[in-house]
Amino acid sequence: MSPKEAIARFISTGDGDFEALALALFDWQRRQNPMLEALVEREPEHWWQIPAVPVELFKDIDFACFDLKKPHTVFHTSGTTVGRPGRHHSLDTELYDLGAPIQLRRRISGLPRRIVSLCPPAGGHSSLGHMLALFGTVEGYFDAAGGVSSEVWSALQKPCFLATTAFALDALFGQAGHAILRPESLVMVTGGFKGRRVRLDAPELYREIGRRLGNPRVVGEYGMTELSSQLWTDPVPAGELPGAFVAPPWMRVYTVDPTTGAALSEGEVGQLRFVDLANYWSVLAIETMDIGRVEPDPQGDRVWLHGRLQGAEVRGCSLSVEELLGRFSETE
Amino acid sequence: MDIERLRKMDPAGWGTGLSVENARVCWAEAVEALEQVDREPVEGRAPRRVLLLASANVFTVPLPWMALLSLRGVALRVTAARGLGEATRAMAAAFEGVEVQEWRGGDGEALKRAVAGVDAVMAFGSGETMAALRRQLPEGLPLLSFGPRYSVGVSTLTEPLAVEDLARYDSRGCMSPVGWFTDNPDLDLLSLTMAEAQQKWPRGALSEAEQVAIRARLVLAKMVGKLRTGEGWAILQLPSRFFSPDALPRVLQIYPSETIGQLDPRRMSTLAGRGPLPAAPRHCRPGQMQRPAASRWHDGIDVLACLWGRPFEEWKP
Repeated sequence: MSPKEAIARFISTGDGDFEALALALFDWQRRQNPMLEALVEREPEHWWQIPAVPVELFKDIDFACFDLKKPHTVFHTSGTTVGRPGRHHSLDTELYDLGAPIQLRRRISGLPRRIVSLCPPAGGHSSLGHMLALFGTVEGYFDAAGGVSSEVWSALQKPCFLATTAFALDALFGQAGHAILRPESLVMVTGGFKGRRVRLDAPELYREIGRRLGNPRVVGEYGMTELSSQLWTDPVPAGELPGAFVAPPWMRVYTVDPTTGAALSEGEVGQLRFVDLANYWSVLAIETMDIGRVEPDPQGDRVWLHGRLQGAEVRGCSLSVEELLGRFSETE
Repeated sequence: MDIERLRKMDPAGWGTGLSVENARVCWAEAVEALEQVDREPVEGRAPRRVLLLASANVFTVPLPWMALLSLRGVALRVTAARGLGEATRAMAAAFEGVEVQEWRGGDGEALKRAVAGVDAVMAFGSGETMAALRRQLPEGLPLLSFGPRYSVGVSTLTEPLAVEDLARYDSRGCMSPVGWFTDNPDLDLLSLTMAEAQQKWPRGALSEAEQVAIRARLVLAKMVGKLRTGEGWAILQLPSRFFSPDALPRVLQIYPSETIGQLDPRRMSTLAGRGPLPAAPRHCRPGQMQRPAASRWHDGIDVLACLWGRPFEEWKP
């Protein structure tokens, strides 16, 4: 059985050992991609010792364990940050397509098949759009200019699975409109604000769901272009903030000290690293810019997000937007 | 301008984020530059009061502007960057007509207070910052906006003085080299020089974001280039296509000399080197990048002439 077949079986049935699969996959990836070999300072014996690639490097390097000249899928990061987008290449999306619906059904029951999406559509370079298309029939109301079509309000008058980024939801609430969704409907909120200015902060945005959309269940989704698996919160009633994000069993999460990169003890707040077996064709271990706390659980690590490390753009004799607008995270 | 008073000041307790040794060197050099401050008359109509929005990272930024404007009888209001209130007030006390306003940014009211009674505003920042500032300023108020620029050095031989340029202000000035372009660098010599600089002017505190960015860059170098590291410093040798305009504290990033041909001079601030050099707003010799003259020019623009009424274009990304 090839490493990919073994991972597919693990995702489908749970048969297999995460650590053995992770070490075997890394061994395969480093042989396919000598750049990963260069990161090995000592042989990994455990899954958390597998060298992690900083997510920022997906902007600089096309990571691939296959010939990039072959036809393949490439997802791009959204253009909300300055500079080149990150690119995630996969020869196929079999493990992604297998895992995403399984993970969703593990976390949420009674899903409406009708999806009202304020996210980018499938078929382009959006991994989010690709994921949603796996879950049902998508009615898209995404506006590439950053707004939201006002027609979405009439689409919300029937039971649905509303999939939205936090930014698009803020834009939706900037419009006049009201819906009375019932608990069989679900609102999925994903993504942060990535430094973009919005009308509502996160707690107020979730409270506004209760005020403007009725009483649907609300769930948070955590995913990123550079990963092939997603984390979901448990559903909460409208108006409440979702809690911890839960990873699938084929993805493990741990934290490192942002200053040194050294792994932290269980439960310590630090920079999040993900080891995702579904990242078969690119890089198994990813270091993010997110800060959080992890409660390990082989059935699904639970992750509490604490925020995001700000980029190092603040430099030189330049006044930053943060300075101009008085947005500082540290206490003064 | 009371230059003796400035000379006696000790920036050690100013919370500059730099090591005491580095802060003292940078301060002494910035004060020394005032001895040759540009005193040439400016054509046009002088403004009565100018606002300078200062940032937190380079603590001496307001100093030459205080001198240039004060000497010409123009009142200057400086917003003290976070954590640098004491430093800015101390500097201002050595000049006539300079006032300091505490500044935490925030709502339009804070800016309204800062711009009350001023004839022009000067600010340095990202394109996004300049756009946000323009939106908040009263219509018609001139804004001399200086967008992001980067500086580089170029040399045929290994240039140990690049290390000094990198060490001053812990590489945070926009005149600090984000890259050095040279072929076949002597990494052993540069490593030795970086270690000596760290001993002489230890690196100051880094933010978590800076440390994470440095670690990411080291991973890149391991994968596609060469890497030398020591306590408080790193040297990366990378192919041209990985050129980044972002400076990282005490990280010397070396690229092939051909890289210089790929850069847009309109995005450049300072170019250091010896002999003939490609176009850039400012040229200097290695070791002088972060020691600019107290000049009326910035990024190729005669700032005083613009404040005195010469038309100028606001920064566009």
